[in-house]
Amino acid sequence: MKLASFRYILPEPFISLRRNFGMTVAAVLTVVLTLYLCGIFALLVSNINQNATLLESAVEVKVFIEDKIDQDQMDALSAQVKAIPGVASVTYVSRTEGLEKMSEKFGSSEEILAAIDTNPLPNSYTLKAETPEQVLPIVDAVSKLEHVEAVRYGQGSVEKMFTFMNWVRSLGLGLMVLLGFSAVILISMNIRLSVEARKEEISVMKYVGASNSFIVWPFILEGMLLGVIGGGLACMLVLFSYHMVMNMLLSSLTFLTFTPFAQIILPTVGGMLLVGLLLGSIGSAIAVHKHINV
Amino acid sequence: MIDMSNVYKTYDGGNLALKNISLHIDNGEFVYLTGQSGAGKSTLIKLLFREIMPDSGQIFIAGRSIIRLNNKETVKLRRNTGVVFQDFRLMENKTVFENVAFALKVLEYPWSEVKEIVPQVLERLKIADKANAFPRQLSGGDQQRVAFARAVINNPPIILADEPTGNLDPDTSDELMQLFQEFNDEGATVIMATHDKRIVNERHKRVIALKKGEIVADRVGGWAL
Repeated sequence: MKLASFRYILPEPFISLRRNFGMTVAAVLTVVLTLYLCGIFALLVSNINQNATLLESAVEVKVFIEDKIDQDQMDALSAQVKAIPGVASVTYVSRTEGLEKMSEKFGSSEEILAAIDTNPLPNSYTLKAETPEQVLPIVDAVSKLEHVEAVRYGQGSVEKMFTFMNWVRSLGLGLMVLLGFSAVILISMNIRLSVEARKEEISVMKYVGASNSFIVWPFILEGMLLGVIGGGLACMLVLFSYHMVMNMLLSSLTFLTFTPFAQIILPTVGGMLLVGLLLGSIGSAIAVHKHINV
Repeated sequence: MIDMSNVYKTYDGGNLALKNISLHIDNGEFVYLTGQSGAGKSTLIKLLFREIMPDSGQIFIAGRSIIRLNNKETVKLRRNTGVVFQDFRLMENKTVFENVAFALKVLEYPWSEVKEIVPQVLERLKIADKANAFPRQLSGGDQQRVAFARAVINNPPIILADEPTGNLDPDTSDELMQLFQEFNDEGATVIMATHDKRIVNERHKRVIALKKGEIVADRVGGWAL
């Protein structure tokens, strides 16, 4: 194509979007609504995921140590525990500290001691895993070490929580894929409809002797423009909604954490503009190609 | 210049539109294709700019078969053929100026020339004052003038017209016929399908009459059925 053709093709989408105003508004609204829903849902899933991970990371493994071991054995055990893959931190809790912690929760240590005569707590380690998935392997490895009396990590409930969180994640991901899929279909259908309405125009262009690229490019650029306008508007709405909802929830549901606003701006803007651009151009290209062989 | 030999065309559903058509048209001729509705006039016109393809037979334009053309060659054929339709086929979302200029833009004329040529042609066809109007704002006669302007703007050697006066009143038809005559006088070959007896009888031209897809008469002067 010569330079003159570019000069003629480039302004076409802008003129066409203005003149087919009704169609333009309908297509842009479809893009805005579907991408808005997708965007909001993606942020929801990402935040649920983040909270789930935090909750899982809070799981601690308590390793109770046999009473009758000397300092050398203690040091050896400490080194062995620290060497287990996936262990992020090891905190030694002596029996006295353990009792103090317990008394913080349940009342003064004197009262507890009065009730049970002697401190029944063993010395212990509190372990944290680098990732939630490593908790169970760590428990396994620790249980096999010498001088370990018992290992506690909330048996049963931790496994249930992990299973539940995995379900939440899979469900979120599944719905996300479904929503994304319907967005692709809706947007490309709508753009195809707007091209379909102009199939006469396409055939006239052919009869006048326009080459395929001369016909196709304005439509592809128009689709891109539609997608970017829609994606841009949807993106602004998503960011605005997130900001509002986050402020509202942060003040009432203090135990939740949110992905900070600044962190979502770039992925949201980039992702939505790109998706809009791709859907718009591909939808247009497919639709025009259907009518171009005359 | 245009040669057809043993051309057959059947539409989906077994409707035979053209049967064993052979003809020769010289450079610069003015030919009427006459016949009733369904005689095959439009089919013959459509074959000449490859809107449809024949089932069998050969079609040559300027010595070259147009049956096996690739995309690029088809585009070239259409750029050398101006087509005027009964229903005008203007681009509704483009102004008169843009509709006519489009034919030059696809030929990659520089904008400076487009700006110069289009107003001249609109002036010649007496629609210069409608340059910024959209087709729906024009009368049938003016729409056909725009379609005519688009067809002839790059001086194609062949002008095809399919019932160009079908939707026009007699006075407007006469004005349009005058335009066809002018371009024919300037050297263009004109092939016009029509069932308008009056305009055929008014001009002493070659008339090819079709009936049920066959040529039943080919002579000069007057309605031939």
